Amino acid sequence: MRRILTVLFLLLVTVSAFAAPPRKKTEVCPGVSKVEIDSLLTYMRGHFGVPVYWVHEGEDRRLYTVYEGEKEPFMEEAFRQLRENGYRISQYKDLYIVLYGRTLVTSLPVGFFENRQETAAAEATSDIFGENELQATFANKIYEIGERGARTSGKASVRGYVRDAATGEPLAGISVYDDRGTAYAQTDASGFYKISLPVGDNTLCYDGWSMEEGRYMLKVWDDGNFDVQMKERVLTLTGAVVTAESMARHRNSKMGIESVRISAIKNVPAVFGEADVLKVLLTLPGVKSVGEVSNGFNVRGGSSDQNLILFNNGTIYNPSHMFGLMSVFNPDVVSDIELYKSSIPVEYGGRISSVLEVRSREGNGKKISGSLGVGLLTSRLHLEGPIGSENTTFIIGARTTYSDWMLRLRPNDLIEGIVPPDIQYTDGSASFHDLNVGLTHKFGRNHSLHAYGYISRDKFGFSNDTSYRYDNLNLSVKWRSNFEGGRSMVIAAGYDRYGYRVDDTFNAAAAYTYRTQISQPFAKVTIKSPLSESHTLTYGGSGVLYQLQPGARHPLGEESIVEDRSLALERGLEAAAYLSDEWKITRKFSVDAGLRYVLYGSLGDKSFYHAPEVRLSAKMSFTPRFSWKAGFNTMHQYIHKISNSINISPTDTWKLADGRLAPQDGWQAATGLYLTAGKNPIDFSVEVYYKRVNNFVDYLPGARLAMNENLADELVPTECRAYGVEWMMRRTLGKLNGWISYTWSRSMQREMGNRGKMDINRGEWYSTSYDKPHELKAVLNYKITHRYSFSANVDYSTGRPVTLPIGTYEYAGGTRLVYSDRNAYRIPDYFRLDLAMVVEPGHNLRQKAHLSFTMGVYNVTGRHNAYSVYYDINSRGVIKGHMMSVFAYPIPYINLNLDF
Amino acid sequence: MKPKQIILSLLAASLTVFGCVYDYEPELPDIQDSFLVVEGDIFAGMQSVFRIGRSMNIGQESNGDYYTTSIGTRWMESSLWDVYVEAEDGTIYPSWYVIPGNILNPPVVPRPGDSLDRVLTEMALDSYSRAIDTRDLNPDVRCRLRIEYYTYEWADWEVLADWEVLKRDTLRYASEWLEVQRTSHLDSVTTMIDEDLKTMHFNINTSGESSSRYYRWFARESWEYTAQLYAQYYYNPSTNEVLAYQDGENTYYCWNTGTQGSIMTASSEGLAEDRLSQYELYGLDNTSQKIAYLYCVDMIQESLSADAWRYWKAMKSNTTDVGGLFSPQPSECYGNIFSLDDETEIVLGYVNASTVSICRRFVSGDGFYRKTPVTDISSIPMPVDWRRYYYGFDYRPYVPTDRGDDTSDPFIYYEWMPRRCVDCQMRGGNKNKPSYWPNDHK
Repeated sequence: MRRILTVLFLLLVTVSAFAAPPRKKTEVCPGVSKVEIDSLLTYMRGHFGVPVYWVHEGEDRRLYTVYEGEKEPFMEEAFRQLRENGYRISQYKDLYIVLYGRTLVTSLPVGFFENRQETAAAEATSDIFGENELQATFANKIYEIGERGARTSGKASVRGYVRDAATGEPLAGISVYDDRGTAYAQTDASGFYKISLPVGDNTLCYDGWSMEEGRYMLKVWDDGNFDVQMKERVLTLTGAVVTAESMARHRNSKMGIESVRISAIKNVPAVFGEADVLKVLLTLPGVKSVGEVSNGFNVRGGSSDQNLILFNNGTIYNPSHMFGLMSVFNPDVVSDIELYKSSIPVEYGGRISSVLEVRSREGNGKKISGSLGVGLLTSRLHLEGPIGSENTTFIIGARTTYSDWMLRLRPNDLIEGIVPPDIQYTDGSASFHDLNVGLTHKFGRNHSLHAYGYISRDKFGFSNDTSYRYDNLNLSVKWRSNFEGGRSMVIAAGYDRYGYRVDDTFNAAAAYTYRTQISQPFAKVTIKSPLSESHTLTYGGSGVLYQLQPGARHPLGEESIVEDRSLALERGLEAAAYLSDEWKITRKFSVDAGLRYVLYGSLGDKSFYHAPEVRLSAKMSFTPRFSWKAGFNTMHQYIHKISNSINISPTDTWKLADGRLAPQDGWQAATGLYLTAGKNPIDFSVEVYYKRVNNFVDYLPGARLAMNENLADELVPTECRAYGVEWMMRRTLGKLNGWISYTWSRSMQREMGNRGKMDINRGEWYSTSYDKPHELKAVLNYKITHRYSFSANVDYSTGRPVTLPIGTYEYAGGTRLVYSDRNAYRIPDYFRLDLAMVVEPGHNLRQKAHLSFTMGVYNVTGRHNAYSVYYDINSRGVIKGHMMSVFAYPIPYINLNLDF
Repeated sequence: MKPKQIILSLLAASLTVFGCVYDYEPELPDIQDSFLVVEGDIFAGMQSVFRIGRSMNIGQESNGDYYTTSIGTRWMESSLWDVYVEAEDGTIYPSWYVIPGNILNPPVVPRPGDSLDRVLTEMALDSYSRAIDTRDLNPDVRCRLRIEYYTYEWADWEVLADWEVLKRDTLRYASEWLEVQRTSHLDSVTTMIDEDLKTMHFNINTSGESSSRYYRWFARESWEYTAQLYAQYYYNPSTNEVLAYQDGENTYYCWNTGTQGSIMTASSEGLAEDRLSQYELYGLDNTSQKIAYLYCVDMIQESLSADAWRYWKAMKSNTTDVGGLFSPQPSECYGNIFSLDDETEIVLGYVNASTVSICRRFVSGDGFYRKTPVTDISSIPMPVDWRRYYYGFDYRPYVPTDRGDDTSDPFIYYEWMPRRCVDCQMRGGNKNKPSYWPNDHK
C-alpha cells in the first residue's frame, strides 16, 4: 500500500508539474458560460473542491458550455463534454485525472511491482506525453491487437518499431519477449521487431541497453502492429551497460556478439577524455591490441587487418586518427557498435576474424538539437533534427583538432636516446578533421531511405620537406522495407575510398609524391523472411569491386629525376550469395545454419577462387536463465594488409589475392555456457574457442613493400592458430554495474613455405605479436546520485611478445645485434587503472541547454607500461636496453559537453 | 628513402608529452649460441679484405682466448683461419695476412697506378684481417668466398690428465655463388654545410649504368689535426735536456684514420635515370676532430645484388628503426654464407661481389670547425731540477719564458705545458702521415 501511495504521489507531482497553467483566469460566470478546459477544470477544483488534475491536448482552444448548478450534474456534464472531445477521465478514490486520448488505469495488475522499481510508474506517467496516439506509451493499458474477435485460437504475429521516446531514434538490439518465456524477438537496425504470440492475453516485455524496461498488456486477436517508445533508464548509470543483455544472450543462438551503445562508450575513461568507440572494444573479453597507441585491434588471436570494420555498411580501412590516439568514429553521431567475434552472420564476409559494425544515429525527429564538445585534443559540433516533417531527419557531425601543440610542447630531453639528435621536430605537425552526414526519410510506416557520408583527412609531418596525408571517404545509401508477413528487406549500396599520400622534397633530385589508394563500390541485398513459427530465413547477395592502386610515384619539382610511374591497378570482384535458416527445433533447442558461397576473381590475371563458407550455431536452453551454445564458422579473405609494422600504421598498403598470392582462409569453432543468476541479475558466461587461419602473410627481411609489382615475392605465407577461454561476469542493473572478464588465450603463427633454415624460427610455431595469454579487464560504474557517477577501468595483461637481441657482433663499421627467435620474449606485463567522474546535466527539462562534463585520470597509478622495448648501442659502445612508455604518467582530463 | 622517413616511427613516439623512455634490463637466459661472423665484400679491381670472428652474447665476459670486448665480435687472429675467392672457372684467389711488421705470404706487389688501392688495403689490415688480391677478378664469371676455420677439439678431460689439444679440425664455409655486380661511376663527393652551420653533409653524385640499381658505400677516412699549442722544444729524458725541434719535426700535426660506422646504402629505383644526385650519405659535426684541419674521404662505391640490398635494408632497419610506434619487427639477418659441414649452422654476414668506383675528396675544416677553446691550462716555468719530475707527470716544454731575471740556468726559460695541449698524439692519432697527403707537414 505504501508503495502504491508513493507511486500515486509521484504520479500526481509529475502530472501537476507538467500541467499547463490555465489560459484564462476568468471565473465561470453565473448562468451559462463558454470556457476553455483550463478554466473549466480550475473552476471545478476551486468551486467544488474536487481534486482534479489534467493535461489538455496541445492547442486545445475548444470551448465548453457549462451551466451553474450542483456539483454532481455539473461534473457529469463537464466530463461528458470532455469525453466527446477526446479526453478520458480516470478516477482513483476521489481523485480525477483528465487526459487526452488515454485511460489511466488506476488499479495495477497483480504482481506489477515484483519486477519493477518504484520509479517505473513515474516513468510511465511521463510516457503519457508521447504524442502519437498509435504508439504504446502507457504500460498499464490493455492494448488490443487486430480486429476484436477475429480469431479465437492459434498464433498471431505482432510487429512494430521500438524508438527512443526522447529523440524518435530507432533502437536496435532491444529484446522483445513475452513474460511466459515462450516468444522472443530482437529489434533490428531500424528498431523493427516481429514476434509471434498466441491469440489472447499476453504481456510483452521490452528490454535492452540502458532503456527503461517496458511491459505491455496485449489482447491479441490477429496480426497487427504495436510500436513502442522507450525512455532511458534514470536511476542506473546511463553509461557502460553492455548488451546483447541477459535475455538476448539466452535467446539468440549466435554467440560471441558484443554490443555497446554510445552512452556506454562516452563513460568509459579514455586518454585525454576523448570518447572512443574502438577503445571501448578493448575493454571486452577477446579483444586485444598491441599497445596503447593503436587503433588496430585483434579479435581472438586474429590480426588487425582481419577485422571487417563497417560504418553504415561502408568499409573503413584505416580506423585511426593521429597515429591511433583516436578512432575515426565521431561519438556524437554513433548510435551503437556491434562486434561479431565468433558467430558471424551469413550476410557478412570478406574478413577472417571478426565484423565490427558501427551504426550512426538517425537525426532527432522532433526538434533541432545538437551538441558542442571541447576536449584536450579536439572540438566537436553536431546538429540534428527534422527537415520539414518528422519523416525526414538529418544528423551532421564534425570534428577538428588543434593538436599541433603536442608536438611543439614536447621537451627534447624526454626522447633523448631514441631519436637521433640531428632530427628537427620544430616543424612537426599533426592534425585531422572529419565530417559525418546522415539523412533519413521514412516513406510511411514500412519503408525508409537512409543516406550516409563520411569524409576525413589526417595530415602529419615532422619536417618542412615531408608531409603525409591520408583520407577516408565513405558514401552509402540504404533502403529498407518491411512487408506483410514480417518479411523485411535491406538494400545497401555505396562507395568507399581510402588513400595515403606522402610528399617528400628532402633531396631535390629525388623529390617525389607517392600515393596508394583503395576504392570499392559495393552493393548488398538482404531479405529476412519468416517462413513459419520455427523457421526464419535470411538470404541475399552482395558484391564488392576492389580497385587498388598499389603505388604511384610522381616527380615533384623541376629538378626531380624521379620516374613518373604507377603500378598497374589491381581489381578484384568478390561476389557472394547466402542463405541461412534460424530453426527453432523445440522451445529449448534451436539452430542457426547458414551457407555463404563466395566467388572471387582477380580481374588482372584472371584467376578465380570460389568457396562455400559455413556459418553454424546452436543453442540449448536448459532453463530460461541457463543455456549452452556452440558455433562453427569458415571464412575467406581476399585482401591482405601489407605492413611490416605490428600496428595499423598510416603507411600500410593493401594487396589483393591473385594467382600468385592465395587468399586467406580460416575457421573457428566455439562453445559457451551462459547463466543469469540472482534477483538483481548477474550474467556469467564462459566461452571456449579454437581457430585456424592459412595464408596469412609475413615478410622477408628487408622486403621492398612500396612500388613493387612483384610484391608476392617478398611475402611469406604463414598459418595461424589461436585458442582461448573467456570468462565474464556482468551486471547491467543497479547502482553498481559493469563487468569483469578474464581471458586465457594463445595466438601462434608458423611459416607455411619451405625456405629451410631461413624459415622464421626454423618453421616452428611462434607467438604472434598480440599473443597475451592472461588478460583481466574490469569496467565498473557506481552511481552516487542521479547526477554523479563514478567509473573505474582496470586492464591487466601479459606483456606482448617481442624479439630481443641476445648477442652482438661488430659488422660494417658498427655494433650489430643478434636477435632471438621471433617473438621469443615478452615485454613487462601491462597494468592500468583509470578513474572517471561523470556529471550529468540537471534534470530540469525546461532548461534550454545541458552542460555535462567528465573528468578523470588515465593511468592513475602512473605505471610505466612498456609499449616497446629495444636495445641500442651508445657512443661509448655500450649496449643498453630501453623501454618506451607512451603514457607513463597519470593523465588528468576534463571534457565539457553542451547539449542543446 | 631518406633518414627522416625511416625514423617516422620514432617521431610518432614523441607525439605525446607524456611518453617516456626508461632503462630496461630483461632477463635473458645465460646460454646462447655464438655465431660465426664473416665481414667483407669481394671487390673486383681492388683488394678485398675479410675478417672473421664470433658474435658475443649480451653480457658475456671476455674469456681471454681471443681478442674480446664486452660487446661486438670476438675477432680471430688471421692465422687461425684462411679465406679465398673461388671463381666458377676454377681460378683461386688466395689470401694473405699481416702480423705487425711482417707481411706474410703472398705479399702483394704494388703496380704502377694502383697506389690508392694499396693504401686502402693497408689501412684496413690488422692482425685479424686477411686480404685477397682480387684486382684481376673477372667480373663476367660468378665467384664465391670460401672460408676455412681451424678449431681444436679437446680430449675427454676425464681420460686425459690435463686439458690438451687432441687434433686440429677444419670447418669449411662458403658463400653462395655470386654474380659480380658492375657499379656505376662515382663522379664526385660534394659537401654542403647546413643552415645552422653545425653539420657538414657529404653527398655523392653518380653517373653511368650499373648492373643493379642498388648501391652501398664505404667511407674510409683519414684526417690531419693539430695539438692545441705548437711546442717548438722537446725534452730528452736520457740527457735531461730541452732541445729545439729540427727540420719541421713537431708534435703539433697528427693524422688519424677511421671508417664511417653507418650503413650507407641507396637505390636509384624509381628514378627515371640510374643517377644519384647530391645524395646525402653522412654528416660531420663542427666539433668533430675529423674536420679540425684537413679531412680526406676515400669513398668506395659498390653495387649490391637484389638479395644483398634486402639484407642491408633489414640490417639498417634493425639498427636505426627500433622501438617506435610503427617500427617493424627486427628481422633475422642471416646472410648468404653457409657451413659446408652443418646445414643448420647460422653464419652472420653477407658477401657481395661488385666492381668498385672510388673517389677521394679532401675537405678543409677552415671556417667550419669550431675549435674547443684552450682553457684551464697553466704553463709552469720550470726550475731545472724539477724537469724530470714534471716529465713524469706528463708535462712537456712549450715556449721560452720572458722571465729575464734568472739567467743562471738557460732551461728555466721554457714554460712547460700539460702534454695533452702540446702533443697531438694524446688525442688518438699518430705521426704516420699518409703518402697521399697533399701538404708538407711533418
